[in-house]
Amino acid sequence: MLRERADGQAIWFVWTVEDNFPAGKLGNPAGYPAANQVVRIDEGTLRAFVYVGAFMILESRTRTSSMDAAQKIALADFKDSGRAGELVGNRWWAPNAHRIRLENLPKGVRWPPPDWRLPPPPLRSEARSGRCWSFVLEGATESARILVDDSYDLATAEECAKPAGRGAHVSVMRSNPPVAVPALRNNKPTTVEFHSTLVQVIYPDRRTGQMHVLMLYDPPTSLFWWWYLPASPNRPNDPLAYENQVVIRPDSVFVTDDRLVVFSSRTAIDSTERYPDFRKGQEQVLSVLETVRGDIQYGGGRLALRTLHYTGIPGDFFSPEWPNAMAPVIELKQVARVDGLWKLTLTGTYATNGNSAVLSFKDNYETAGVELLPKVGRPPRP
Amino acid sequence: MIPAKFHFGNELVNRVRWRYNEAIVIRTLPVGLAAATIAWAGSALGQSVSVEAVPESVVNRPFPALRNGRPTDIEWRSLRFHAANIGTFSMS
Repeated sequence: MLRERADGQAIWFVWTVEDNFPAGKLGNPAGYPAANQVVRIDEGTLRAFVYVGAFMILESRTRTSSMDAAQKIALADFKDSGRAGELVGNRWWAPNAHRIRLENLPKGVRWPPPDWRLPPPPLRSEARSGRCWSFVLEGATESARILVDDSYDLATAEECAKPAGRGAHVSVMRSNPPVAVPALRNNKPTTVEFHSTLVQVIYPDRRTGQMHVLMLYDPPTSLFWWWYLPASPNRPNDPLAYENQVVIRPDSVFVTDDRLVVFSSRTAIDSTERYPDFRKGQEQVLSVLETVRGDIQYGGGRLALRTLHYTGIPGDFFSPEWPNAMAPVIELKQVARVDGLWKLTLTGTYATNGNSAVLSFKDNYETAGVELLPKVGRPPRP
Repeated sequence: MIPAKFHFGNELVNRVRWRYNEAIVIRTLPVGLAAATIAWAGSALGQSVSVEAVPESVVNRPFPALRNGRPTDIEWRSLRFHAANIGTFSMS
């Protein structure tokens, strides 16, 4: 954690020390994944520039009265993110980090090297160059200069000398006609508008990519919900079949007076955003994508997904009966709002006896209770 | 109308998990789905994660910084904490 004494600006990030995967496997370094940091306060804003193979930029958005207060917020933030497990495959958790991919660095400063135990080469800050920050990675035999402009994009020296004005990095390529999708409004059938759009993104390393933006709009409440999926034209055999993929299942969309939630058997993605019309909502989405496009390139960028915890359900309750099965297939059968709680009915598709359970969740999606509904007429597993 | 063949969320995750090992899933799934899957994979059917600081792990020291290009220092703290069922993490 970093904190500036004068005005309390604070920054934090987290890395995995050990986890469930063997060290050295699945891309996990064998030990401490060292990072090189440069901390700058320019025009009153605290930023950390961190080299971890990629380049992370963290800009302070929080002010705290003390380091203890910062720690309290940071740990609560980490827990509340519901993404603790992400670090198993992605060692860094850095909320709101802007990341820049660095792929063409000289071999002498590239990190991680084949041996994970080596620290990354030192990162040094130079004087600002026009509207850019300038950094040097200093390896034993080679060095590399990195110029980052005020939009947090890689830049050339010529671009740094020019005024800003490159324009939007996220643009709409195609919008599909909206469709009405079934939903539940306070337990009664209704419909909401479903919009999907293909957008092009210019990432901070100047590469371009495409994403599907999926949006729901409910005119009676003005509630607006969105999500995105990377389009993957180079992976025609991708099992997810991103093109035309639809996030919404008819039995999973729920509208209340104050939020629009899309449930799956393990997740809830909710939104309390409201806009006078759909177009305003889409404009906001493009604006947000503009700011998080660096993190999107690394599979992050939006943290609204909540993992639903199966507290109270025995470990093998939904498990398939046959040996060596990798995982249970759990289907969401029904969502209801009862006495201020979310009630999700789940069934193990291949589970022994077709077991079901009704899980109750509070407004913050913490588990409030569980009712097990083993299928009647078959003996339980010994 | 939405094609019936499409699914979302962990139904989809499960279908993928059924066919691929977890490492591939981690690297293939979009955004939060991967996070949810991994959290689930590491937490025995998704028990709540508790975050607890490791006693005696807190280290405080000044950290060199640049204020408008001039050397200064700011507060720095490192600590370790344990996320139950997931592993041990460091914060800096």
